Amino acid sequence: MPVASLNRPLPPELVDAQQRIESYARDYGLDFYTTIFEMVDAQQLNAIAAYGGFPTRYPHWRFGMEYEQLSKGYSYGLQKIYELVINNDPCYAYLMASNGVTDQKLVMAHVFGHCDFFKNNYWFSQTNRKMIDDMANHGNRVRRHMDRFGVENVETFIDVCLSLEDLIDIHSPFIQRYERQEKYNFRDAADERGSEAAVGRFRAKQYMDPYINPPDTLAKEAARRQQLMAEKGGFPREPMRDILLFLLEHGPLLPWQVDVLSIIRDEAYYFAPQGQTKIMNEGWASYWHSTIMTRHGLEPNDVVNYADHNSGTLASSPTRLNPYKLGVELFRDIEDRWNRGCFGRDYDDCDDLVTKREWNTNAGLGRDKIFEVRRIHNDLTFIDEFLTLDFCRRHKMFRFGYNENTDFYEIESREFPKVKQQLLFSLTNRGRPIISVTEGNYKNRGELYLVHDFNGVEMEIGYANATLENLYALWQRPVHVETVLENRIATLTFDGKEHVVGKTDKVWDQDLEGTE
Amino acid sequence: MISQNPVHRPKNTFHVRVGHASVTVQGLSREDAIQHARQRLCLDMPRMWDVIQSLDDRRFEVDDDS
Repeated sequence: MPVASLNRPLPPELVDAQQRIESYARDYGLDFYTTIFEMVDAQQLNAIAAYGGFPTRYPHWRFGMEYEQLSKGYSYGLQKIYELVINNDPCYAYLMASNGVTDQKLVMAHVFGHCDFFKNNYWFSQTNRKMIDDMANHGNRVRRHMDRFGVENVETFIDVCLSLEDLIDIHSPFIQRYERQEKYNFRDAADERGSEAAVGRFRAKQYMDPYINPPDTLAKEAARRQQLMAEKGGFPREPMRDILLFLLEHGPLLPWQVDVLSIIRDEAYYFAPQGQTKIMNEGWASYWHSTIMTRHGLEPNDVVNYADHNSGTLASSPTRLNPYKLGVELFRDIEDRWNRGCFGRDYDDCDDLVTKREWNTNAGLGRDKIFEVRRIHNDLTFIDEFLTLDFCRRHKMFRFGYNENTDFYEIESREFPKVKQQLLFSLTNRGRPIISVTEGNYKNRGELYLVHDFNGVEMEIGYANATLENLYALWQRPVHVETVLENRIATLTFDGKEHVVGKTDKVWDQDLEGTE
Repeated sequence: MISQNPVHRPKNTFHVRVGHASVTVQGLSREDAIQHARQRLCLDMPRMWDVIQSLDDRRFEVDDDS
């Protein structure tokens, strides 16, 4: 995939446009790191997008697959990437060379909104602002492991790790739950190969390793050490959502595997806030591109192109939530409500519809409020706080589901509580099941026991079984996950050979907030 | 009609124009009309709130319709 040679300078009219739009953005109070725009062609942009916005990543087939999907979508006219920007200092943004001047100006205004969001939203405050360098570093380390231990071995291991990359604790950057670990130093390392003493491993050259450190001997030693730890007290001390960290600290991994898993974990934590703030981030950037373009950026000959592009970006679909549309409309609604004073006890307690509709205290706090919102909220709290009944009605929001009788997706409900609940469910933990490891020495046999924090949505069994297989691949001992199936507590187990579903008679009690 | 209430001051109708937008409001004076016009325009164009609030009074063209 061609991502090299990105140093194509911007033409003078775009340099001028960038400076003007940047000055408008800063005059409105947007605050962002230095932003560098790179001009690339469609092929390069698709390649960079496939890499998640970074010009170089570790080698893996997933990036090739993503590139194929993006480039085919572009070739067939199904999709087009207008803008790409990364959370970094400085921010790097990519402009497609084939776009017209109007589109380029719109993209620049949009990008400045994103850059401001990355810098100021609290959920990004703990992210690595030099990730572009670390990503390149990660790539070099993985290539070194591939050279040493084989491409297939390392890539297969990366496959396993990627299937588990959601098993992190998204709140842990803000709470010190455990003693701080040195970033990549999960084991005491005497040398590059790490501490073999940790699992009773003797030093050996790679071709002699299977004879000097037979796998079954190592497994027995690992079980013995785990038993010793169990005698000291169970581990982890409390349920641990950062399962990747647990595996790094206690799993029977080779040093290169520890390194690769730590890279996957590091990148998962870097991207996590982006998943948590998609609606807000796109809404914020759309709000500012609309404000800057309509007030300052448009020439008469730009209007039609701008309207066409903007309407495409903000178009609603009956089958899919458009984060741009929802985000920008919510920000506009917040600004309007806070300008007119439509908040607080007096407003909430008013039960006269006409009075509420004409409510206007000239508070004029709208602009300050949206800046405050962009600073402290993520999508979950944003929707929870600001998605009101009135907003839901005005935008005709509904909840839809699959009707097995008709074999169609149909509107299930227009009731506001149900609509809001479905949206909030899809945003909690980024729509992933919340799973914690509760026991690292289950049944005193070194088996791993996890618990799914059931909230009414059952796990997809196929995915759960595949994840258990991959957990087994890292843990090397049977793995169990306790969940709820058909309203009863059940345990899914994989012991390396077969999947077993152990259903109990215990009924899940919602009032007890989970299992007992 | 002669008002018996000495405090009562009848409002006049004003046609207020700013830019391409115009509204008809009731007011006691030109300044009062401009203030009401600002409020109406802010309600009609909520996204232009900050622009409308920051406009100088001289930008408003006021015609007395009464």
